[in-house]
Amino acid sequence: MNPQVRLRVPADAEHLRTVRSVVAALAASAGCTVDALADLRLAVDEAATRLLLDVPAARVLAVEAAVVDDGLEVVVAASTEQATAWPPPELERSLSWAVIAALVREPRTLTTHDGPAIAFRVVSDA
Amino acid sequence: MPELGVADAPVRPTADPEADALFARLPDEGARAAIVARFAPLARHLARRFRGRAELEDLEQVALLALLKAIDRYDGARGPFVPFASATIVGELKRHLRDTGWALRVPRRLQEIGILVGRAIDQLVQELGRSPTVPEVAARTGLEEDEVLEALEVGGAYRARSLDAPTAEDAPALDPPADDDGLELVEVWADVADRIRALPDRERRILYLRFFRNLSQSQIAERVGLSQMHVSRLLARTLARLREDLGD
Repeated sequence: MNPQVRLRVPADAEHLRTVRSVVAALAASAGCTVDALADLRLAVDEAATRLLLDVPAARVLAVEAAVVDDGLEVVVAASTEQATAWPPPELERSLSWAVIAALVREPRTLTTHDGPAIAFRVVSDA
Repeated sequence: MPELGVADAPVRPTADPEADALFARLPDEGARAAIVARFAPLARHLARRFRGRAELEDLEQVALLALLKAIDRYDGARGPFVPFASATIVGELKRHLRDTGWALRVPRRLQEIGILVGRAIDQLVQELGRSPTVPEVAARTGLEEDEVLEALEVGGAYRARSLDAPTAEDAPALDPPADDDGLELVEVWADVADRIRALPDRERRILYLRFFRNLSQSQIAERVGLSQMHVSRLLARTLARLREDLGD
């Protein structure tokens, strides 16, 4: 089995640090370079912050990261009990999205069993 | 927190018809730029009052952003600009010190590890021609991989002076990107263009090189004469600030 982590923290900016650390540790074990790690941290931060803003009454941030052939696949989701239109129409024109798209590969929105999510891939030698 | 004696900042509540004329032309961008230029020395002066409690360049950046905020919020009917701006700037500086107070409490051991890691990364970039992995940095420094990760993580929490090569402050203005791919991106960034213009040259240049020229952090570090770790934390901080400014 490829190494992976699943992490659930309260939907609150103060827990982003934990998320960044855990995901970065997995990425390091997958052979990511220091540059790739830095981009990964920024992208995780940006995705999570975006979800916290766009998903009303988000309760839990659910983060999954898995080692894949050339790096790391990451899914950041926000679970909420409120119906949420996802993705919001303006998302792709937001600064957040521009930042994420510039830092990582294949950024995309999806809805997982946890809720609205942003997924992307980080290449280890980026 | 001790009082800092900033209440007696250079307040000159005298008439300033030139400034009034500029304010009257807002939201004209030229007028705005002229106002910023006119009062930037005030912002820097106030920033220097807090020197010793944080890096001066950080303080100056906070003060300049606060100046922009003050310009946006100024209502001429309620009195001269300078006292109003001074209060705003000092308020923001104090808030900044409060918010980043934890940064000064990074344990010495971690600071030392951070210096070792920062130097090793830059050496390895030179030797390998690419960014190193965490195991490579660990091998070079003799540290555990966990320690390297920890150092990378707190990279933003303090400033390792010895690593800060003098900066070539030859940063260009934020040039438009050369290719069509960038156009959509520019549209998005246009929303924060004002804020980007207000960034210190170095931050603006790093942002430009990463997002418009697509250089890696290591490549940027070489170009601007900083360590990769320094570039990393400047970038993280700049993005956080833009996000905050945008309320987005």
